[in-house]
Amino acid sequence: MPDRKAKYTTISIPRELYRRVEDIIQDTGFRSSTEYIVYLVRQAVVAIEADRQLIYSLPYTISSTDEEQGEP
Amino acid sequence: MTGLKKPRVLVIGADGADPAVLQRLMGAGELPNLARLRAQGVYAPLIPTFPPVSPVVLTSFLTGVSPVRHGVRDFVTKASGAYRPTLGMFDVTAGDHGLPVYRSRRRTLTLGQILTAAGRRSFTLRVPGDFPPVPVNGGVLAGLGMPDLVGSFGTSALYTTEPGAPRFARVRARSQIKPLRPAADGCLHGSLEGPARTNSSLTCRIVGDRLHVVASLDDPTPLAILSLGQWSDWLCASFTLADGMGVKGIYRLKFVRRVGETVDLYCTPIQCAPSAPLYPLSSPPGLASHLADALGLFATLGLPADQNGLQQNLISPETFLEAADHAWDEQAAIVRHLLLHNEWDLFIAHYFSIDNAQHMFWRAMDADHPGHETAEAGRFGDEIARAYRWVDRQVGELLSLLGDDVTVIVASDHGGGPIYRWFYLNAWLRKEGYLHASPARKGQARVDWARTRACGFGTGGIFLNVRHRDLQGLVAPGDEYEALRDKLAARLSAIVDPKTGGRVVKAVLRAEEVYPGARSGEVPDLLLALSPGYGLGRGEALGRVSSRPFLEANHTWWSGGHEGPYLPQEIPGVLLMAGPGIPPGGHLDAPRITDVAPTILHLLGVDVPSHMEGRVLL
Repeated sequence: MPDRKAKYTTISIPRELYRRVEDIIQDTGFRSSTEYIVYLVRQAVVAIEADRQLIYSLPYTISSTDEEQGEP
Repeated sequence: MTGLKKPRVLVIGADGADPAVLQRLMGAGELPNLARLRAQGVYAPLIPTFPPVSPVVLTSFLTGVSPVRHGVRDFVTKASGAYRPTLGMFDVTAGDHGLPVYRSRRRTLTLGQILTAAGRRSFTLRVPGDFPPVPVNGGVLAGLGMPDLVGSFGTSALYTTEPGAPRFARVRARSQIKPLRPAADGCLHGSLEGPARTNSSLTCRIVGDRLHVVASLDDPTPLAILSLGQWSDWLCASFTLADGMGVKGIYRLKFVRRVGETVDLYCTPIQCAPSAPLYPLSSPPGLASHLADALGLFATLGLPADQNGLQQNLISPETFLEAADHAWDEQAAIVRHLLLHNEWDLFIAHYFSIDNAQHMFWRAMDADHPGHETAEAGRFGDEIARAYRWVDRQVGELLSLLGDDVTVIVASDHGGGPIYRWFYLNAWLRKEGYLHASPARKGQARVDWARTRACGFGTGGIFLNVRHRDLQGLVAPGDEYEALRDKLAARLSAIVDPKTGGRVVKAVLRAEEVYPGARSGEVPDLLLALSPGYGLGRGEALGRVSSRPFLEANHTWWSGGHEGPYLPQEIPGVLLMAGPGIPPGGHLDAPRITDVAPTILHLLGVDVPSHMEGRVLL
């Protein structure tokens, strides 16, 4: 069971991919693979959230019926 | 050659102007300026692209090439390699300060860029899909695509002292009903929503029968004093991002209701301030600021009419119209100012008023519409005609400002028509066994991709779930893929509406017919064109699965449109041209939207680039 109060949680990625990440972050300023992966995920989340903010507010797609708004 | 004037072209974009409506109103003498233009020049219906939606069609107008070449293919599509909808107009990536960065999907030069290279000067104002603005000699003001401060296409709010009141039961955008909390200081306090989850305070106070909006408790000078029903001017809000960066926004308020101590206050979407826009608003960047200095603050949102607010019953049609009229008049003032105070060879001014009215008020004009009500027709039955008359007035005013040395083009990206019936494509795919979904939750269901072979995304797009291409692909490429496309096309084409006895689907197009050369998975495998009078059910573009019947009468405000989608020849726009270079009464042979850009370059004496697909119409 994940500890929902903890600030961090653990996710799994293939070990082979993790090693490749370790290689490519050499001399980039990132202190660990984890730091780099968190950075990438943050970038992706900001972009997808911004994309969703737009598509779910487009007048052509907004529901005028009684169905629920937002992402299904 | 001194003394000879250089040719100039003015293009007035009348979004959604429909040949049949135009003809009817001209015949009734309601559009004298457009009628005069037509008598002096040439006129023809103008065939749009497929799908016939503004950002796609108008990118073809600006570039002279079809969507497969320019890259803007729909409002919304399916994300390549993922089972989610994504914006089709531009790409979004993460930028500094936790804010998004928008990059156009357009990958061909615009008229403005081509003219810049030719040493000529142009202005392009408010063309849908023209976002972010690109550098040109002259100026660009972003059109539909330019977001509000929270990064949406328009998120308004209703501030109220009674957020749980029964009168809001019909409001579908519950998150947009915001509390106004009475405090011991006698003020009402609300919170304005800014970018990246920031907030700014909204403080007001009831004084007699008026509402005073104040900057803060420490500064009692009212920013606005509103009587019931009255609008404020543009007000400014400041937000501070997590890293300390300050952001300015602008908004207008309307005092919409007061009963005793109960107050409702409508707030437009909070928009980028022209003086320091958070997102790219104009090119050069200082153009918007210059306009605000010269004319005052103005709506910067790409589509300033609050269509979402009306559709979701957040606002009344009267409030909707008042806000829209204000925005159109601001745009008209900007056009007049730039037209008169600048040198230019090409000037493009785009107006959204007709399209806006046709979407929202078709049911009030059309007694055959399922949503038509006599009382509403009495109040709003003239709104579409009023929008055409407004554009006609703009044409008249602009012509009066210019000499007869300017060639004038009035064009629309598509026409408009009624949406009598909704077709829920994904509900039909589910009923026929092509799409599987988990049990309905509040009227929607979640697609089970491990068992789904086809799902609709975008304006009539159908994406097959293809093995080796999609995450949980089922359909084998090759024969199985082609057989499924054939079968789907045949069965969709055979759907008969039991209510009307007519076919729902007019045509089923294959990807390679609409987007020749496009990479598999980046565009729909099949594209539907519906019969006139039908529209794709709301939410279908987002890949939703409705649990409603797959055919249903339309009783919503969104009662007219062009995005059915319909075949281009069935929803044409209009093209009027008059002035130097245009033979009066000449014949135009089935002009297409891609023909307009090369024709403009020809009129300006600029070489037409070989990559343009359209032809010179003269």
